[in-house]
Amino acid sequence: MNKLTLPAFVMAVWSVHANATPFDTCPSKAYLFQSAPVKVYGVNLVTGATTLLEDDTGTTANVNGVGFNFTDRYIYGYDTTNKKIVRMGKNFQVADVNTSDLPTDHTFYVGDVYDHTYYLYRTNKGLFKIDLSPLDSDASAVLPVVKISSRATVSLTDMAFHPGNGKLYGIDNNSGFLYEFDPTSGQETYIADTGQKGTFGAGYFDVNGYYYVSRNNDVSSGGVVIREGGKIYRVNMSLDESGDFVESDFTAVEFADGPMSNQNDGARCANAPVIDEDSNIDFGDAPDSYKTTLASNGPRHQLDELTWLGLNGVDGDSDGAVSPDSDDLTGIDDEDGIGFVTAVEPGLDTLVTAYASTTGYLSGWIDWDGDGEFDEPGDKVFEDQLLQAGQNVLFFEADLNAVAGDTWSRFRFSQQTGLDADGGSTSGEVEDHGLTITAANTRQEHFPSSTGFVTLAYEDNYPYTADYDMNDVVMFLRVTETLKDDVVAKIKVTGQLAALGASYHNGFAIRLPNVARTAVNTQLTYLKVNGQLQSDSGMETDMQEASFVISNDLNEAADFSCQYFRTLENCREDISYEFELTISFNPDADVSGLPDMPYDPFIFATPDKYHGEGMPEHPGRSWEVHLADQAPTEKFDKVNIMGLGVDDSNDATGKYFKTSNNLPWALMLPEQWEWPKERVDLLKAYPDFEGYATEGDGTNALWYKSDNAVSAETY
Amino acid sequence: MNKSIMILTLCGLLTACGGGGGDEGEASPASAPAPAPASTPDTSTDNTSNTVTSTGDLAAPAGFDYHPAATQTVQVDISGYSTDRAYLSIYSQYHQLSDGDYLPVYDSRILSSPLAAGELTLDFTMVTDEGPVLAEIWFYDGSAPLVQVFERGESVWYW
Repeated sequence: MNKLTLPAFVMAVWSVHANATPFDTCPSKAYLFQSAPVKVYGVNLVTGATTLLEDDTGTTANVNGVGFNFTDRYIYGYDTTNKKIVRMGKNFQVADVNTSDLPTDHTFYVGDVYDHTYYLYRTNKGLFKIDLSPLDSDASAVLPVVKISSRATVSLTDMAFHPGNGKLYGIDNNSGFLYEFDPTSGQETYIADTGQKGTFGAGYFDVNGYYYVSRNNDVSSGGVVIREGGKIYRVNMSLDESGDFVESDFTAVEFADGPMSNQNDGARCANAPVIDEDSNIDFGDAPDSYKTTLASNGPRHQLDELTWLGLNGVDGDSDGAVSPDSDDLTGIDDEDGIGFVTAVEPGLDTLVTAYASTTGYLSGWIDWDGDGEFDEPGDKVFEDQLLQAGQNVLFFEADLNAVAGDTWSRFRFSQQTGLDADGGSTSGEVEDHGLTITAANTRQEHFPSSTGFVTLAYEDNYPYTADYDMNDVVMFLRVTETLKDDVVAKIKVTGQLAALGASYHNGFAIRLPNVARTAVNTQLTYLKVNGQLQSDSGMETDMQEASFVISNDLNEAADFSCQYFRTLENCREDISYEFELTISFNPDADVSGLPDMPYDPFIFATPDKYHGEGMPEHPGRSWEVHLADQAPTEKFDKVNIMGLGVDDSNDATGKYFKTSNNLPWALMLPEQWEWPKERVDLLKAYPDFEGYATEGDGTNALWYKSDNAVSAETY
Repeated sequence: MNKSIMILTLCGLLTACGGGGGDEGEASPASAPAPAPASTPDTSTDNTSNTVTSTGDLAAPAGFDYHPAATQTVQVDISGYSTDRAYLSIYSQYHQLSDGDYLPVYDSRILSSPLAAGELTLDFTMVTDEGPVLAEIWFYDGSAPLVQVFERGESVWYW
């Protein structure tokens, strides 16, 4: 050691102790190190949004070859100006790390950390490693640099450890080939051609095994940019349980637009997911066939607190919401900026309104042929349409060959242009909306509204005295009728199982009173459960009337682990069962007797299950509970069940499913209702029900509102 | 909402919207026949008569069916204003913006229907709830929509 370097060494020790505080967590963002003096940027890999975190790291040097050490939560790097090892903590202040045997004939700009060991690579020089564990007890410890191998033939500008298998990966800049490196021998193995070339100065893994690479600068040929700089690509290198790659396709998929750079290197805590718990990213909520989730490279927008659609702003999502969730069910209702204010009829003009928070660019897609993708050229109805702040009225012509029926649209509003239906964006919002493509003279009626639900609450101790917690079966339900020339042509019933507070097993069904089963067009009638098409629509083929069994056993369907499903305060679970029943009628069918929506939704006893004393054993489908004064179906066992216990049903007077005091076993509430907790009497949770029921004249009509509830008594 | 104020607001809105080629001197869409007085549900809370603590002890009047929905009629005739291709939507929720314009909560749509030469009459099922609803009629030329606010509790909505 010569005299000149001694003060520097002392300074280094001092700075380690004074400034270096490790990161508090394993951060989700990636860190990009650029330039000399080095600046540190945070890159949101999901959207490409970049922020300068520190432009004064306490050094004038460039730091490269950086890697995040999950063990001690420091970022380690190589000072290319002074040829030494450094590290930095959460305040991004550089502190020297003392080493011995560090090569002096060349620099490093490729490196990463894994298992408390810092690896450095230099093409044609070799692979080296440094054990970092002595720093745990002595920040000034001198760490030996060990050469693993002289073999280093692949032209790399960054490499990264896969958190799942502990192997190193890098993309050869010249060929775009992906290589795997054995960190114990330096031996490289060709994996695949990623299809992308260029100087990928920064590479990162996430906890799910996705590998992200960021290209430094534009690559031009003959004055034309042939490969754009700043692009972030993603390669799916996720592993299955036995450690094998899930995908055989390692094509680098364009993922987001990041920053251009030179002297570029990246570090990231590979054990973190790419999205924080407190996400500031907006996702869509169409079915995932439209590429909605992050795993599908779905569209997502960094919230910029400036650019959104609608009045309500945007909330952050942890991922794309797919059935049975929707983006509106979590956080604020932010899918509120787009309105289909006219009919969408094939070949005709359509108006759409877009309420914008500020000026920006709107792109929009509609799946005209209903194939579950926005991939047809004609699916893109708006491209970088400039919006003004406030309400914008936009035209497009519906595709001439559009298929009538329900489909999906996607709208992306951003300060960026050139967005596709998938991929990240640094600003704005994505809104996915279902819509109906209709024939001429078609109208739609929604009960209670196009995205609202009524609540059906059943007691299942019929025909005996109920405990009136009104939560044995709680179902949210919505019905949409499509009428062509004033005749109901199609019915869509959407439901979500909200709660099961029952000890007995019950099924759920919907009957269309006064409509013959033969009126139903069975080819165009189908049932989806949690977005999956079922093999059977559930139509009861042994009935004269049209009736559809949604589930024979809701306990089986709900898939819950608490004693009851969503009625116990101390055992909360998410909604896990959603269905969508679409019923079409034959062209000349007589549906004039169809009653008002929601027709006749009812519960029945699960076949072959016990359903209480004093009744036929295992009554199954012959035991039903309907809303008050709704007659049972033809399968109901009137002889052996009706009139038992406290049931005062009477065919002659049209009184059904009520007691002699006219109390029901089932209620419908006009909105998504907060039901009483397990064994809490309805009156205790909703005192105004007394006046509502006993007066029967509209008194306390809003007894069911949450404002009128004793909130400690409801779920 | 005070009805006279509401209608004044609507008149102002429609005048401000203008366009569409209609003659404001006759058959303004806002000058519909005055609807019957509203029989809005009693929404006051009943705090005085809670005499029982168990639902099973209650007795309801015979015939009471607990049904929180009713048939609503909407009757539109804007043929004096325009018979162009037009489309009606009714929303259960809406915002009023600072400039007085209405913005529907599009997710709260109750019905949507084409008009036939400026006319439409239909019955539909609507849940019992509180607050007025917003109706919009859009023409396919992109001109500003006609807007009407309807009160719940009126069995027929005239436009």
